[in-house]
Formats: sequence, C-alpha cells, structure tokens
Amino acid sequence: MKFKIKFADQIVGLFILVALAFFVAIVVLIGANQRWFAKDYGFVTSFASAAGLAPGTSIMMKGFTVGKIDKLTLNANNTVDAEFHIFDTYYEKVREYSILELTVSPIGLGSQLLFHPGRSEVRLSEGAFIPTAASPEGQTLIEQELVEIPPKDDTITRLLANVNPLLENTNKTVVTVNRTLTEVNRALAGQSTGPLGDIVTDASAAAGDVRARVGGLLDQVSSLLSELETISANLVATTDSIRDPTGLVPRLLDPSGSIKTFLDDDDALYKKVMSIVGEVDRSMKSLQGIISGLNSEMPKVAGLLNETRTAIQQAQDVLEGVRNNPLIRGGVTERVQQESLYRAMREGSFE
Amino acid sequence: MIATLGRSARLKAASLLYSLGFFYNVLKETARFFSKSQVGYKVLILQILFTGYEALAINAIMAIAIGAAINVIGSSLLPQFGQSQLMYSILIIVITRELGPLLTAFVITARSGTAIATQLGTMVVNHEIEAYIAVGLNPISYLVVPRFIGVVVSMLVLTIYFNIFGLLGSFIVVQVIKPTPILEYLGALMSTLTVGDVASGLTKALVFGIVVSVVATYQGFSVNRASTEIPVAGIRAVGLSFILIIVADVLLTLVQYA
Amino acid sequence: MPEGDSLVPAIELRDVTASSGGFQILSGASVAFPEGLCSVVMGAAGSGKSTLLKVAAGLVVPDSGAVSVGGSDLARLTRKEELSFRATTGFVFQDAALWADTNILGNVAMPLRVHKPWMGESTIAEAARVVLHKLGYDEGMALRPAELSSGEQKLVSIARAVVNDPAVVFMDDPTSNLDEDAAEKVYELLAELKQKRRTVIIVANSSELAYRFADRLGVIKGGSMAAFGTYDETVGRAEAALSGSLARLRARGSRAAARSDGAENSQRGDV
Repeated sequence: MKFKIKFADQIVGLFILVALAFFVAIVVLIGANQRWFAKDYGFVTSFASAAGLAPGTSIMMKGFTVGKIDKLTLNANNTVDAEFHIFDTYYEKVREYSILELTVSPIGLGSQLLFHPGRSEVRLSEGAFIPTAASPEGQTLIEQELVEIPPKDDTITRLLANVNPLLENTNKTVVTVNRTLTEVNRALAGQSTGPLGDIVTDASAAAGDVRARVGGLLDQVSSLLSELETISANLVATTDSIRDPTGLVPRLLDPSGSIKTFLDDDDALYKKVMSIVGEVDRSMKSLQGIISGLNSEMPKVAGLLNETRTAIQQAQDVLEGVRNNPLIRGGVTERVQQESLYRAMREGSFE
Repeated sequence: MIATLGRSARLKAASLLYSLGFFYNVLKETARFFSKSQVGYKVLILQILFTGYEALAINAIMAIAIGAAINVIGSSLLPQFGQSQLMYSILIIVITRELGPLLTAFVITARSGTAIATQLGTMVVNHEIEAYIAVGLNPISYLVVPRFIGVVVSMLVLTIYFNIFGLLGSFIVVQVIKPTPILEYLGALMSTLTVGDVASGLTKALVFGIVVSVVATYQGFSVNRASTEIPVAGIRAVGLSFILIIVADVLLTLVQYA
Repeated sequence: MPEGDSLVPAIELRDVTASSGGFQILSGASVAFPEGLCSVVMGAAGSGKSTLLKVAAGLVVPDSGAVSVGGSDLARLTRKEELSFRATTGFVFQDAALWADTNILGNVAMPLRVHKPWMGESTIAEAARVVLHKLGYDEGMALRPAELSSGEQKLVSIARAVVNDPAVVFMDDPTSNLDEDAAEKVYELLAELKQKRRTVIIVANSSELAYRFADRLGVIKGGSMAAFGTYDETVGRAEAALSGSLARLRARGSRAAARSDGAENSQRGDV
C-alpha cells in the first residue's frame, strides 16, 4: 500500500487542522487589529458635506488612528450628521473644546479627518457633540485658542513651512520700518524731541524686541499686509506733514531748523530706512522665487499660492512706496506681472 | 419546427428538474451522512487527500506567484502615486476575494472534476453502481456525498491555504528582492483585511465547491452504457463547471458590492 | 422438496414493462418466483433475461406494472424496508461488476460491512475468506478486480452475492466465463443454497444449470414470459420447443425419471 493511502487519515487530518489553525489565527489577528474586543466611545458631529467621508474613514491624530466614522446621514437641514467612535485608548484625549477637521489634499489625493483635542481638563462624555473646524463653533474655538492644532505635516505644508521663516524675517523688518517711521512721524510732528540719531538707534534696538510670530502662511501675509497698511498710513501722515505749510516740516526744512540736522546727519536715517527696505525686498524676492518654483512644479498649488502672491505683490508695492517716498525718493515703479507659469505654458501651447 | 422546439424545451425543463432533484438528493443525503454510520468515511478521506492535499503544491505556487507580483508592484509602482497603502487592498481583493477562490476552483475542476466524472462514468458502464445498489448502498450517499463533502472541504481548505501562501508566502519571497519589516506588513495587512473579505472568499469557495462536485457527479452518472461516453462526460463536467463557476462568481460579487 | 402451486411467491412481477437505453425490453412480463425454490429463466440473447432479473431485484425501475416483494410494492419501500430487502438479497451480475477501486477481500466483505458492521472487521474478513474458499478462490485477497481473469471475477462476484447468507439470490448467468472446475464449485454452492431453502432466481442459457437445479423453469421470449412452471411442465410444452436450449433439455429426457434413480440432492443427475 502506498504511504499516502496508508496514512491518508493522518495526512488529511493535518491538512485540515493546519488550515483551521491559520484561519483561526487570521480571524483573531483581524479581531485584534480591528478592535472587536475593545470598547469604543461614540460621539456625534455634523459636516457641511459628506464628500471625502465614508463609514469606516479613520480619524487621525498626529498620525495615529484614534477612531472611525460609523454612520453618515443627510438630515432635513441638508447637512450631514455623522456618528463616529474613538478607541478606548484615546478616549482621554476627548476633552471639552475638541474639534474634528476634514482636510482635503489640494492636489486631489484624498482627504484626512483629523481630531484636535481641546485645551480643557473636562472630559467629554459618550454621545457628546464635537464640532468640526469648518463650523462657526469650531472657528470660535480655534480663534479662542481652545484647541491644540498641530502644524500640518503633509508635503505641501512642509514646503510652505519653509517660507515661514522668510516671512517672519520680513515681518520683523516691517515692524522695524513701521516703528522707525512712527518715530520719524512723531519726531516730525514735534512729539519727540530727541536727536534723530537717537531715534535711529532706538529703531535698530526695537528690531531686536520684535518677537517671532507663529501662525499659518496666509495669516502671516495678511498680518504683513496690515503692517504695511500702517506703514503707508504713516507715510501719508509724513507726507501730509511735509506738505502742511504751517506744520513743523517747513519749519524743519528751514536750513537752520532741526530738519537740516536730520537730513544732514550723514544720511543716517535714509541709509537705515533704505537698508531695511532692501532687506524686505530681498526677502520678498526669494519668496517670489519659491512661489514661481512651486508654480512650475505643481500647477494645482498655483491657485492656492496665487492669493499669497497677490498679497506679497501688494506688500512689495507698499515697500516700493516706502523706498520711493518723497521723503526719501519719489514714485512707484511699474511692476512686471509675474505670470503663473502653468497658465502661461498652457495658453502658449494653443497659440 | 415549433413542435421540435416545444419538445426540446420540455426535455430541457425535464432535465433541469431532474438535475435539481439530484442536487436536492445530494443535500438530503449529505445531512444524513453525518448522522449515520460512516461507510463512506474512507471514500471521503481519500477524496480530500486527492482533491485537497495533492492540489496543495500547484495551489501554493499560484498563490505565491500572484502575491509576489502584487507585492513587487505594490512596493515599486504604487508609492509613485503616494498610495502604498493601496497594495494591501489590492492583495486582499485579488487573493482573498476574487482570484483565490476562482483559481482554486479551476484547479479542482481540472483535477478532480474530470476525475470524478470519468470515475463515476466508468462505474456506471461496469455496472458497479448497480452493484452498490444491490448491496444496499445508496449511490448518492455512498458515492456522491463523500465526493461532494470532500470537494467542498478541499475547496474551503485550499482557499485558506491560497490566502496563507498568497499573503504570507509571497511576502517571504519578496524579502529576497526587497526586505520590508514583517510586523509592519502584517499590521497593515490585518488592519485592511476584514472579516467580510474572508467570509466573501470562503462563501465563494463553498459555492464553487458545491458547483464542481455536483456537476462532476451528475455528469458521471449521466453516462449510460458505452465507454465512449466517459470522456465526453469528463469534458462536459469541466466545461459546465467553468461556466457555472464564473456565473456564480459574478453573481456573488454583485451581491457583495451592490 | 416442496412443490406445487400453493407456494408463497417471494417475488412477483405483474405486467411489467421496462426499457433500457430507450429500447423497450420487457413488455407485459408477469411471473411469480416461489419462495424457497430455485427458479431458472431461459431465453435467447436479447430476449430480456437480464432486465427481467434486474426488475425483479429492484435495480431497474419498471415503466409500468409492479414488482411486489412479500406483498409490498418494491418501488414504494421506505428507506429502512429497502435496506432490509437488500440485506436479505444477493445479486450476481452478468459481467461480475466488481468495484474496481476495492480489492477482492473488500469486494466480498462489502455486504457484511454494510449490513452487519457490528461483526467487526476481522470477523467480516474471515467470513469473506470462507465463502471465497468454498468457491475455490484462496489466493490474492489484496488484488484488484482488474488483475483477475473474467472467470475469477465471476467467482468473486458470486461470493459477494452470498456472503451475507441472503434469503433471495439473483444470478445472471452464474457459470459464464467459468472453466469446468470453477463451474463445479458454483454448482456445489447452488446445491447448498437449495438445501438451505434459499430462493434462487437464475437467468441463464445453460441447459446444465436448468437441468440440475430448476424447481421452476421459465422461458422468456420477446420481452414477456412464454412459459413458467415446474421443470417437466415447461420442458413438455410444445411452444417451448422454440428455444434451442429447451430442445436440448427435452433431449435429456424427463428429470423425474432420473431423480427416482436415487440421486437425492440431484447433484449429478443420471448422466
């Protein structure tokens, strides 16, 4: 009798048992990985749209899956009610003021549902409502800084993050300019009597005081813009006071007046202002360089960055104004439009 | 013309009814098989040995080859789109849900479907079936049921092995070319794999096993007296099994995704 | 030896029509095989002998008509009744019909394994060996049927039919393909069965068999029974002359005369 036939029972038994053992092992592993044996805590939220969401979508926090979406329903108000659960190991993260944020990749590579824990000691009980970042409640919580929102860590965010120090630098400079100009204005308005040399010293000392600002790129740029608006307002004030025939300036302009001292101070103020403006301009140029680089590499990012670029252009215009201020020099030079390379290329190909 | 058509339709209906009756009898006798004394036990063991165990090698080779291909593609092509995670989904869809049961069923049809049909056909021609009836052994419970259970069990077990070889074996093979940490692989795989996937694959295996064994035994018994009918029965068993397996696969997939 | 028409029929066919492979083989065959006797049915090749035997044994379901066993319809037996019917019957096929995937011992032991599993495997094997020995087959228990000559296969199939000591034995041409020595062993077995008052139903074209063992002799022709009665009745009937074998039997003369010579168990007759 052949070995196989003789030991058929044993071979078949082993054949089936090994398969069963593997099957049980696989099911147990799936169970362990999919948390059948762990308690989950359910919560609810509301989204404006379920696009990019599905039951089973993971809820991430700092790269860890902390929960999953269970159920999505379109309610009578045309918003989407969502039920989701947070794993018991992360339940302690669910504090008051926590929010959910749905981030959609700008270049169409899916979406991520993020969980941001609230800054509170109070734990939310099961079934509580957790707002999304897009909702007014969420916005309020973010503005009040009641939520821990870590910097985004996808590729584009990282790329843009490189721009941040640059902008910060600019910001600092602008603040210095602003300060200097304010001091100049005050001096011109006669509110400050100290020697102009002191003012200049003060200005450079002030630069050191300025703290680095933290925040998103757009925030940075818009804050930069508002700073620049203040600058231009200051410049207008300066110009006005120069034009005012009864004001301090004509008096200052009197060769015997203090303005002569100011202007003849080995051009100290002028040089200082020019060097600051030059610094800002360099920062702006390298920013623009990065942006046009991004432009050519990732056409889809262009739209996102366009806003930023426009803001920077405005800032540059203002800086140009500063540089060419009648007090210093005159006129705004004409700008050569920075075309989106992506668009330029596409349009070109149809000509 | 119309009369011919009507007659052939009537015959078709009668033969369909007969096949359904055959299937019903197989199921009925299968239920009895587990409760009564096990005369067919030896037949069952040998059937599993032949259909399951002896097909393990070819099954493993197919599973490893397919799994390794997906692994290589998954670790070289998919990251270019930033979708490395998709590899696990593809592995599971291909190996656990779709190709695993289908290819296993094809192998079993080719090996055991033909064997069963020709063997039973030969027994009919040699009056061995009548001899079984004469000693009081119901051919369905003694000949069909052990083959039916044997093929179904083999199909299920081989599908599990296909998964093991396709998901784990292929990973080990790929280590030679491109080492990846096993825990990372297993963790990602297990969190992508759902019980639904496993259940879907095994449901298909069950249905395909039933199809192959019932078709093969039915075709074997359809032989009347001439030995020339035997290979014809084998060919019909394979052809019909393939068609029914594909139809069943489409239906099951539709049910799961619709 | 019980004779006469008052006997209980073991198996009775009433107006049976049966077909095989699309051809009608039996048309209105009616016959009652009496219990405890040996009935031999003769007929030319293709006359429907084998089909008649299979219908009587319930292996072929008749298109019409009925087969009754001990008063109940064979086609309507419950599973349990059918199993007990199979336990008490044995069937010898014309072409042996041994199970090719089982060895000789396994083939012969099968009826015991099915019907008397409580006997235990070793007792069953011993019983199978005894029956095979009785038929002169002592070696090659582990061989496969295909390794045997057709005569040996036939012997094994006879052993398989009688191993369970059935009350009714159906035999389709039991001595075909057998050499004389082997045939003699079969005759000894038949004599033993007769002695034990088993119902034996034989279809054969062997005049020797009919002459030695037939308590009842039937002739089948064109799918129905042309004659059925005691040996002398059938042999004596005029229309029976249509059968060549019957003519040969007639030439051997009356068996009653031979029997009166003192051959008690009719083993050798008067030859």
